[in-house]
Amino acid sequence: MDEEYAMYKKYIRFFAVRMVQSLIQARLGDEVESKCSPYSVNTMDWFNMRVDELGEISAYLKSNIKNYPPTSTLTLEFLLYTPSGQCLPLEAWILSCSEGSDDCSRSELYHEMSTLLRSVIVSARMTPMHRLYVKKQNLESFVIMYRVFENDISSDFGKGKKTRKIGELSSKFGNISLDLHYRTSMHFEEPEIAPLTPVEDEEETKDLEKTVVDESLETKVETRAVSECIPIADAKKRKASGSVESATSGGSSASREAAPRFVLGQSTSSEDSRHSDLQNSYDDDHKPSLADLRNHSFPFVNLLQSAYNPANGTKKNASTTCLNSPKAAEEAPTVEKVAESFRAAKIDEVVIEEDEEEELPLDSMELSEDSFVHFNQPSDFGGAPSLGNELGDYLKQLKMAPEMSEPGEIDICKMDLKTELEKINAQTANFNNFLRHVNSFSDE
Amino acid sequence: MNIRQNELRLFQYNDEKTFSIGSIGIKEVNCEQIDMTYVRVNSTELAMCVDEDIRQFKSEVDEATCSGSIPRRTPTVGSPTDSAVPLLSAQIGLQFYTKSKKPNSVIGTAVSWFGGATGGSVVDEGTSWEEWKLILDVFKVESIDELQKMRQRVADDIGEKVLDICEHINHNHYTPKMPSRTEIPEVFETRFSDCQPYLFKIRRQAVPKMELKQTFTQVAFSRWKDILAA
Repeated sequence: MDEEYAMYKKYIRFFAVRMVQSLIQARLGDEVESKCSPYSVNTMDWFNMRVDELGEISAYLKSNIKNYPPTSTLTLEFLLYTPSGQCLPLEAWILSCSEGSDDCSRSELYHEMSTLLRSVIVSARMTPMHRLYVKKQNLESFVIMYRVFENDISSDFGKGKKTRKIGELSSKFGNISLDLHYRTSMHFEEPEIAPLTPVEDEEETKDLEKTVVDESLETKVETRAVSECIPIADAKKRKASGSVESATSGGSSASREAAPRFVLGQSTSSEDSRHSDLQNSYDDDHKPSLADLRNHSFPFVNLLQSAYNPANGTKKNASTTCLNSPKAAEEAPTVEKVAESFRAAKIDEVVIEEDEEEELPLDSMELSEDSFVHFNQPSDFGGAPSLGNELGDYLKQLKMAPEMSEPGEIDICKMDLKTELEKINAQTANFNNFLRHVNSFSDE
Repeated sequence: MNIRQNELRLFQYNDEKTFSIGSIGIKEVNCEQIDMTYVRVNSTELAMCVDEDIRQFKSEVDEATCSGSIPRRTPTVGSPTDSAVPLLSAQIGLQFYTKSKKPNSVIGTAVSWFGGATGGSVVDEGTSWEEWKLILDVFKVESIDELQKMRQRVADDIGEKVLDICEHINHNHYTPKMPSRTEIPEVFETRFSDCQPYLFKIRRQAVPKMELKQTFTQVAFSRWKDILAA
């Protein structure tokens, strides 16, 4: 009996994990595809269903649901979240296991759970939320977030709320049922917006069960492009001001900044766990990514990064945990990278600037991109062969140039850094060739 | 519908009675005409097999709606828009069966959805244990706006129907017992290399015969749009 019960518990745990994983993955907006595989000892899939697991979801689930079967119910809730801070609960999937020993002699529980899991995967794509929002997620409009908790106090789904019992399976140890509640009228209602104002949130410390994970499931290529292009400006803003006002800043930064606020707002237990994450950030490998998950809106980018580049990933995770800044951590790596090149570019430009500053007065007083480019070549590297006596003139020119520095700088900032860098690289190559040439002469 | 019902298994029998099962993968498919994504079993062979039937069904429906001389059934639902003209109620069904040597012996337990039929019916090869019927009401509309409305509604309805189906099959319904090794072909379809659904048959009836009208249980409906104008 004990053994059987242990098995039953295991079934439920594995089912819950797969259910949560496949539901969330269905809402990422990414195309899901997995292969059929014949039986083999190495690739045993639970419930005969291939479900890939995303580490961050597993870690989050692990930290929120400790008991299987769950003490009351396991609720997975999906919410629509807009950059302006509005939040609309859309769906709740509630898995409950009633206690009790029915005289149920069915031994097909495993296969029934397998069918139920498939039903979950199918129905995940049939709800209004999936059809209306999942593929259209975008930083500027809305993202979908989720949370998992261990009770059935789910949000209000408005007037047109629908409820379905997706499955009810009986077993020796009780009934397992899966209910789906979903919204059909997609209008924001006043009460739902209210709790989101950041100020009062800090006080809601009572609700220990609830932990919120913000989960922006941004996956579209175009959106990616946005998140990769904008960070420079964003990062600068953040560095400058510390916090970004969601109302005034661009949509992307707003949602990144606002999402963590939402986390704090919905339940303060997430605050607590954040603290604990901080304390444990060095000894628990799960915690950093979990903390990341809560601190920024794009956890999967982070996951991907650590998957493809384990060393970097872990390092960055740790650092973001320590920082615990609202800055989107997944974004940090890209920002860093871009920022680095940005900085490098800057340094190069400064060198050019000097040249430019002294050259320009000679030829024309106008700073145009063309002239800038034009003058670099002879002065910087191309002009190098004719050094010698001209060095004195060069120094003089340097001294003559001070008043040009300011406008020059401004223009440089507006330049297309990428093309400029390419030019510099080309010129460096020229210069290297020249050096080689000179060296060959001196060798002779 | 098919997607949902197919219990796909690849068997590895250790001996005659004990077995292990492989696993199935899924693939998301985006619909072209309506705003909907569904999942199917990631088996090209199965998909092609089903597609073949669906393609034929579609061309039959197209033909029937274009010919104009078809026996028209009253639509099962009201007109979706003010000016939509009902053309046809087409039916397509999915039947699961076992190849049984003893017909009608076990089918007392067979389940038919919505209690339409009280027992399994005998199919060519054996005994049917589950049947699904989808009724498509075909309407003609004249404007893009209306077509857009219909598209939206068809997507909504299909979503609800699929949820209905999921609900129904997870309430301890009958499924055939797991066969022994030699009996596999009596229960499962073995012609696909990457999956083994229960034996199934797709039954099409683009132009329903009038006398059958009463015996068909309405399982689901949907509307087929027909662009003739605009």
